[in-house]
Amino acid sequence: MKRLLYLLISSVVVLMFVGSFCTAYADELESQKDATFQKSYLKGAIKYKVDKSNLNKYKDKLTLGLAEIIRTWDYTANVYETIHDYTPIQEYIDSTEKYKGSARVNKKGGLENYTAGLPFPDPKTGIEVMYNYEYKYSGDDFWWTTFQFNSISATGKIKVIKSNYKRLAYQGRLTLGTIPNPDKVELKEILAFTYPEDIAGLALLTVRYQDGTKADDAWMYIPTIRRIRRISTAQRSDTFGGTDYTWDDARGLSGKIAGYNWTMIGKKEMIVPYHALSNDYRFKGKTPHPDDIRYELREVWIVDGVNKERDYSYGKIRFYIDPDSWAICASDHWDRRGTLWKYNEVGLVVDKKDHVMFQYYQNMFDLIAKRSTLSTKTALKTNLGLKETDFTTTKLQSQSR
Amino acid sequence: MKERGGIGFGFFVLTALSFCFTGSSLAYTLMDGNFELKGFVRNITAVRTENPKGGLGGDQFKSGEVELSKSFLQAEGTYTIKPTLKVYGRWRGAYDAVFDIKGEEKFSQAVIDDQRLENEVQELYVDIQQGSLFLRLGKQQVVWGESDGLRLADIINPLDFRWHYFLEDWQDIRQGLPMIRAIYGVTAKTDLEFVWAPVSFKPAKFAGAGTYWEFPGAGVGGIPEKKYDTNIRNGSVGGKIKTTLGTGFDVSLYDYYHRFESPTLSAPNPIDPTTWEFVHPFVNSIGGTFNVFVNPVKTVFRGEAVYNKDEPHTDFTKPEFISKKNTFSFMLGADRPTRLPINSESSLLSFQVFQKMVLSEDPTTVMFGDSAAPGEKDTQTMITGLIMTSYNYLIPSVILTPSVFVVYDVIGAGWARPMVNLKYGDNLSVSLAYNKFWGHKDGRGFFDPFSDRSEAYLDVKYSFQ
Repeated sequence: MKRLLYLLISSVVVLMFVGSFCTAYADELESQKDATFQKSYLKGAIKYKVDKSNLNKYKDKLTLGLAEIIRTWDYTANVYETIHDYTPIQEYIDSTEKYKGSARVNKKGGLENYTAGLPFPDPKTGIEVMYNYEYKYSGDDFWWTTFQFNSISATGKIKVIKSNYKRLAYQGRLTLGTIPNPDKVELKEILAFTYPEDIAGLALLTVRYQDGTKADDAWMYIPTIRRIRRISTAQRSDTFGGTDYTWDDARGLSGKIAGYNWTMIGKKEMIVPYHALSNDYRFKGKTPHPDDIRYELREVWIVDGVNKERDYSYGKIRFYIDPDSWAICASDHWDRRGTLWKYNEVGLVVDKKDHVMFQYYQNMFDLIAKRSTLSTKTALKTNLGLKETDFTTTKLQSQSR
Repeated sequence: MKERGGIGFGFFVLTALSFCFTGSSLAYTLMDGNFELKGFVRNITAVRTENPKGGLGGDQFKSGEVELSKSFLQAEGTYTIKPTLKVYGRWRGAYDAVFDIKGEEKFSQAVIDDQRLENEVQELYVDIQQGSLFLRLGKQQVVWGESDGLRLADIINPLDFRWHYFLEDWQDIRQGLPMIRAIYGVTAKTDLEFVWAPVSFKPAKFAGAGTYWEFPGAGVGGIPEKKYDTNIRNGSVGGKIKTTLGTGFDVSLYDYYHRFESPTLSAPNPIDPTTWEFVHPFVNSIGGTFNVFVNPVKTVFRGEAVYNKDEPHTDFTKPEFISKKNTFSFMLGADRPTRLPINSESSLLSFQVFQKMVLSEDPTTVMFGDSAAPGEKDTQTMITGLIMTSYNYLIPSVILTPSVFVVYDVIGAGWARPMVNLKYGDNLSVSLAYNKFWGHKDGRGFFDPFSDRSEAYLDVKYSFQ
């Protein structure tokens, strides 16, 4: 009888392997459900398609990464009519006007004398464009209720990570009132993972300071050791959880602006994703299904950034920034040998109710390893009235086991 | 115990099989998403790699023999009644097949009953958040401190050393205690914490005679567990204040009054062994911790110290064989993610120094597993090192995490664990590791009893959620 029990247990172990293959592909099937999100932006007529056959004709209008996935991954970009329909809230517009000319960048790359609104309405340098990105209107706080990463390997297998993200701004607050800020904090954020089981409960609290030279503080609650650990923020260019994203790739860029040397390339019409509403993404092989993404020909700011850390994983990043919202539409990433390595595409959607640009998806393509990670967010809530006490180490722990 | 284990085992097998045959997405959420179930099935199988040298522990296991084959089913449920109120429970069932592989006749029935099957609710508590006050009520684990691998401030929950001694993650071998835990956020930077285990005490558990991880000196069925009354006087209580100084220096101070989890032999009548028993006198542990990130060197520094008043130890020269000493221990550690030529991702380098010393002057007592030679001051110093990295691209869909963890006792003994972990997809984790021990030439130190118990093991875990 006892030996029978042992045999049963051994069978369980063998079947665990079988089970893992079954369920991993179940997730993939789930992701391939017919898209039901086709809303107004995708109902308009496609003006033209860019694919392998006409790539050279449009090459000057394409980001390097988009050109590469069209060339090597048999991808198609459907280009629609360009629509300009984003405006921030009136208080932000008024603040921009009121404080125009007061913000400045110091010698260390930090932002000084900034109060509220857009810091540099008429940017002259790359770093001014990037501070406009950093202080674009995002509400006094916001919460991505579900933030899902789908890593698609070269074999087409999908690995899923689910999380949520909360952020509290200390500067430029226009709706919910000011927060006492003796430590000169710029923002606090919590990224909490909920899936899969081995990282569920893991949560990261980051505090960013206004001083461009002061490093972030970060603490992580690690459920497997039941403890909060202070962690180093030095290696923000490491990827996390087997995805293609580095910590600095979140939101298009979440590294400190002062941590880079910036070069203005200029302003140019480019084909970038825009009004790219997609909350139920389909795949065609390893790439997003082209019918699900709207591209527009838009004038964008182009800025190159080189991180000041000598072992930063990217040699250079080129950002394409929308002048209407100052959100990042796309970016090309080179490795330290100068080879084009990754392409990050950000699916921006205008949220007319809250006057924010919502990143419905972000797709990071690894052009060398031929894999990608798609992150999708299902809902953005802004101006919730989040408090300082929602961004403490105790809060990290109380949300987990 | 045996019958209850049988029921748990049956449930374990059925549930495990049901998960394994599930071919669809494993999303166990009920009640409009307010209830979430997750867990795992796991098996760890270990093989002895050296023949026994004679003496302590598991000598009936020869090199190449399986000395551990434990399978687990764990289920965790969280019911969120509202954002400020949730209930959490974690149950674990387990079966160690080594008793059936080796043959029941090789062990006493008491040991088999104690260690073959497991069926226990490990944690069950309610969380209440009311403004700045957070309350956790029920059976739970509470972890303080900054140390990895060795414990100083992590003293609230006793450990279960029976099945794989100290070689498992602490959370898998901590024994849950019914407790009241309250954390009050005085400001965004300062917390006050209160912990009270009002009526219960559990000692550390050790493996019984004949098992591979037999505790030196354990009798049949392990060290007999001293039963303390369920009484408020047998509880433990403590508090902690934690704050951030300036913008990045975290400090905490704590005091915890508790029964000492390790057993101490007591002999009310030394000449009558029938009166001898293992006891757990009260100890007052006063300590503090710190951590800080120093940007110019890209390193997190952390540390902790604890002063134990009246720490008990067995001393056959003393009346009733008990000697109480004041001890002081500290740890200093540093963690630095570093880009090494072996990988494009950062590797974590982590180092710690531990030292424990007896403050009371008494050369007759030799503590800490005979770390000191006769006549030397009884001080134990250990250094730990961890190197860990991960590869995301070597094998498609696989995250490969090699690591090496070393604990070195400066008297010349230690433990090293090289390990490779492989994660495939969302659910499967496989680890292959080797625990290598070496002892002091004179047979001294904590690691010496393990010097012939090196092992290789395979750990397979399949998670569901």
